[in-house]
Amino acid sequence: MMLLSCSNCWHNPLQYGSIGLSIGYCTEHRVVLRQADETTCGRQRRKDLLHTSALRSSQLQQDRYPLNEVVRLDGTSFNGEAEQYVTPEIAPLQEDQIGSVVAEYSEFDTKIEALAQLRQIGTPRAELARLSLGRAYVARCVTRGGYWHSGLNLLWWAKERLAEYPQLRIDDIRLQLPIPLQRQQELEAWSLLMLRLAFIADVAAHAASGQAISQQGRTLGARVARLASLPEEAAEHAGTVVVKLFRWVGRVALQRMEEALPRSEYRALSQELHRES
Amino acid sequence: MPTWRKMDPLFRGDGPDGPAVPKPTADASYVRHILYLEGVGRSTPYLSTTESQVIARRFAGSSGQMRQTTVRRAEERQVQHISQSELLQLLRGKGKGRAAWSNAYEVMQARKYVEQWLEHLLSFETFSSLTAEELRRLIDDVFEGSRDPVT
Repeated sequence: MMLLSCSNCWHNPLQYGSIGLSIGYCTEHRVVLRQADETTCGRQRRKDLLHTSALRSSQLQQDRYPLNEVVRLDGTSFNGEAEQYVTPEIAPLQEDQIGSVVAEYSEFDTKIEALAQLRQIGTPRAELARLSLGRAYVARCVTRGGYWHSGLNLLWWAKERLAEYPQLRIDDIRLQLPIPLQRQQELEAWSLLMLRLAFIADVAAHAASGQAISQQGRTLGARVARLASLPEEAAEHAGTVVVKLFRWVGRVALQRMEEALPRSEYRALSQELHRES
Repeated sequence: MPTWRKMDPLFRGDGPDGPAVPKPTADASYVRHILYLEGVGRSTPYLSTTESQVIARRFAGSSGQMRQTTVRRAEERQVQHISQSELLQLLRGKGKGRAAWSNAYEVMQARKYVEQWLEHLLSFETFSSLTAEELRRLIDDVFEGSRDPVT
């Protein structure tokens, strides 16, 4: 059931699998998650699934769990034990560079600035936060009548880092698994590489709608839409061998990104969006 | 890491109410089960177990319960054991046999979890003639009737 918990939700950008801090943070409910593996709500959106499956999973969550409170995985409320599971006290987050940015993300109306900060920080945990929140950000924009290119900058930033190996450090690991440590790190690096592709595939899925602010946006969107299959192709080629995945990403995925989103067209659409805003 | 052998225990961690009763006639896809694709309360003919008490404890959470069994004990009760090694053999590419799935990404996510959680499955598919209550008694018997609270 942990796959249905807050630790696997894209609204909690501080944790994914065994990566992250010992506490999570829910940017929807604005609470620190002290036992994120044991809690959930109806807004959970799974980080480990691609767009269509994640959407379906969230619909099942909404049927089963409340939207407006964090509860135990068995669906029960905390009944006086809430403090053991969640707290609105965010001061501890400020002790961590990424936690601090994440707390600001939901506190103030400065989402894209917070995502830009995470890009600047550039560590694997910062990237985890940026990709998790990026998926939520684009999904929310599209749901509210926006277009795929609300994630244009985020997509460009994902392309920038696509061919970098996620150098996870020991303090990026929040819990030990009963497998060799090196293998644990490899599988988490794999997860992060796949999360990059999952984010790109999300934007591609939104682009496939054909909706955009202009013909330029629609034309570029049609090319971006072709990136939707990247995670599946990567998985079929590399399995769970992180070295194979990394090589494939650096060779195939990056080439496909270059073809779909060359710098000149990114800048042209970006400038058009800036003029329109 | 010590290598698990068939005589070694398999553990399971659940919430306070114990495991959901498997549904013998449910979809037998391994990927669907491992990834919990049908959400909470999903119908599955399987119960997951793990070689690791640490993993079982995580799944039990702070207020749940842990149980254990052995392959021998399960098989004596006609419950089929699907080992981690068998799962990993099948969870390749787009999956083989009961691990066959339309989406290679999901197959690999399932493979990752099987590896991380040292997962084995117990299948209750052959018990379609049992009632839910009878299945629950069978589960209690398979898991030695033990329900250790997580401490």
